[in-house]
Amino acid sequence: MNMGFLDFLNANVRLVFVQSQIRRTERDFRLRDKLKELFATFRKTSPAGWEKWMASKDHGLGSLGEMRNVMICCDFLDPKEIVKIERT
Amino acid sequence: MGDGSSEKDAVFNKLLVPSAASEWDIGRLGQRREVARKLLGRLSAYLRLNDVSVDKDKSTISTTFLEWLSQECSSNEKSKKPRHKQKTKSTAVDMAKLSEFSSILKTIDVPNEVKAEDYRRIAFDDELDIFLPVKVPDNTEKLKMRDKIKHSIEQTQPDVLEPLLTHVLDKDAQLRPKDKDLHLLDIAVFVMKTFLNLETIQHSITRIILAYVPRLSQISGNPELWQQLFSSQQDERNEVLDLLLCRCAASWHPHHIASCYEWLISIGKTMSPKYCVARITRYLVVASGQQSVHIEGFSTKITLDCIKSWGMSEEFASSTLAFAFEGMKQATSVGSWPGLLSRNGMPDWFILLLLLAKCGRVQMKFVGEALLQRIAQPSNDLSLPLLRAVFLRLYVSNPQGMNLGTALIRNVLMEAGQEYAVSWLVWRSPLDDQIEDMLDTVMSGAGQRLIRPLADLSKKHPLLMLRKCHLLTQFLETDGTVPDFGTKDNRGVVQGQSLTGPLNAIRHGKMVRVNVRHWGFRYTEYIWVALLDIICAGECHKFVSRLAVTLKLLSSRTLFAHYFLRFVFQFPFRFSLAVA
Repeated sequence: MNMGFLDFLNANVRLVFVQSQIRRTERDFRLRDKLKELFATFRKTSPAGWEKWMASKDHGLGSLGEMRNVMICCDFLDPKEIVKIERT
Repeated sequence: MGDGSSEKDAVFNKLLVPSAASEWDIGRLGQRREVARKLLGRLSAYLRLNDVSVDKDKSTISTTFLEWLSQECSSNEKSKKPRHKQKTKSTAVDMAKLSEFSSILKTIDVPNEVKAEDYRRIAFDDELDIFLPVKVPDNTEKLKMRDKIKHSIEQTQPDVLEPLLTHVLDKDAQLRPKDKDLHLLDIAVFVMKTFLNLETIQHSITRIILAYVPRLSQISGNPELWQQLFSSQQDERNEVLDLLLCRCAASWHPHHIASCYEWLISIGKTMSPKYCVARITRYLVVASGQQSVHIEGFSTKITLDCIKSWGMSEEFASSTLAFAFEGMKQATSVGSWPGLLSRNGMPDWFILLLLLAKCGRVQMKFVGEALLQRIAQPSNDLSLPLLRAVFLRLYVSNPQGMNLGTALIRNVLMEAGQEYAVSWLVWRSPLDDQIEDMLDTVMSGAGQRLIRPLADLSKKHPLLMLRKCHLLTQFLETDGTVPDFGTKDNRGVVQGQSLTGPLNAIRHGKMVRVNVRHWGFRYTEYIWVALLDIICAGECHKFVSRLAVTLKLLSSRTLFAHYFLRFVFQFPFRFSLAVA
């Protein structure tokens, strides 16, 4: 993470978020699909790192709070799943 | 010969005519005088070599012809024209060195120290004028010189020592290469011995030592000299010797450097504590002929002709490795590894390891195995974090030489990468420029063909690609920024507008419609996808070789794609390196 990998992910998530809030000429399906694969691998191989990243707030979209919220806004995470995890 | 003849002069003169002299086989002959000189020289040398004393063996040896020859030479000299006077004068003096002839001995004193070998040199060297005054260094002169040198060093008399050493060098420079002996080397050894035995070191003498010992020992060296140069000293002598050795390495003849190398390799087996390992590693690096470990070219081998076998023999590699590890032990302490984690100023012992590793794949494997062996059994001297850092830096400095097919190597690199994630971003790697150039080309929009090679590189060296995450992020930030003016080339660019549409604004009293576009309103899709592909490719590099085998076995592309995806998603642990 110290090597700047999270900054790279943050930039991607930020772009997807911005694109989801505007009227655009094309849909960002390819980028989303790639990111979903990446996030799934990240979450599976390093749960601790994933959780740490989800709790981070220095992602450039400070008004949304934690990265978890940004991910929900971008449809990368399902809110029901979050609630389920919180309950367990 | 000629004793019984009444006309000796006539008989002997006939012997010197060209038709008769050509039968003697003494090389090209000149005038009659030259013939007489050469003949006299040969005969005198022959008598001397065979230890024949004319005075003792008067009954068996007739000296009539020799005496006539000497008189003939003397008389010819007297009849010389003025322009030849100088040459004939020296000839007469040199003839006097031939102690066999009593007629000449009466007038000229001959040094008794002249040896038979010197006469051989005088007589049988065709290029040498037979009677050139060859100055033979005599022992008494040497001893006097040594006494003077010793006295001047001990009494701290630089104004005496410097002219003395200059005189020695000048005297040696006048001799032709084949006439030089080991006199200079003896002086160098003697000077070093005297200097190192001083109770206190004076700066003025040190300056002269630094200037003259490299010159005195330029051509050749011997173990006695090298032992002193590499000896471990207690006080500031160590610093003087360090500096002196660097100067020596810069001025020594390649043959001398090579012989010193051989000697060092021979002592590497024993690793005696009386030698300074830091200085040895320094010398091995400085004299290796490699200007910088960062220089990459078509030929990365050692350029010094005399050390062609640098790193090529197992004995050499073992000794070098032993010196490097010993240097590592001595130079590092717990938690302090000067130079190892910084970008520049790498320690000599590491440079030595790197130079050896860069000699070839076998050498790289040799060094890697030695490190892995110590990593498996770390000691107090060589701690595990230190060895991991060395291993990681070795990989970063020479990535093409490391075999990443071994699980143990990959695991050590991953652990080391986590441990030194901050430090190793500043280290140099020969692939840095290549990766950055390719990324620049991709970002410029002209290098979509480079995406595949970059992904392959990421598969092969995922750790090195991860080092470029900051650069990738920078590229993405730049691409997402809306330019002040629209660009002509909008291929692949996704444009966006605010949901509220254009806003109204008053400018110079007029109502205008303004499109507000923030960061991320436009981006080049293929760049973002390509960079994600490149990053994702690194996680499955481990299975590239296995998949290649599978590809050969499976003719169907569909089947291959199926197995490929199963591999990628079944073993995604590689990704954990980046996020752990």
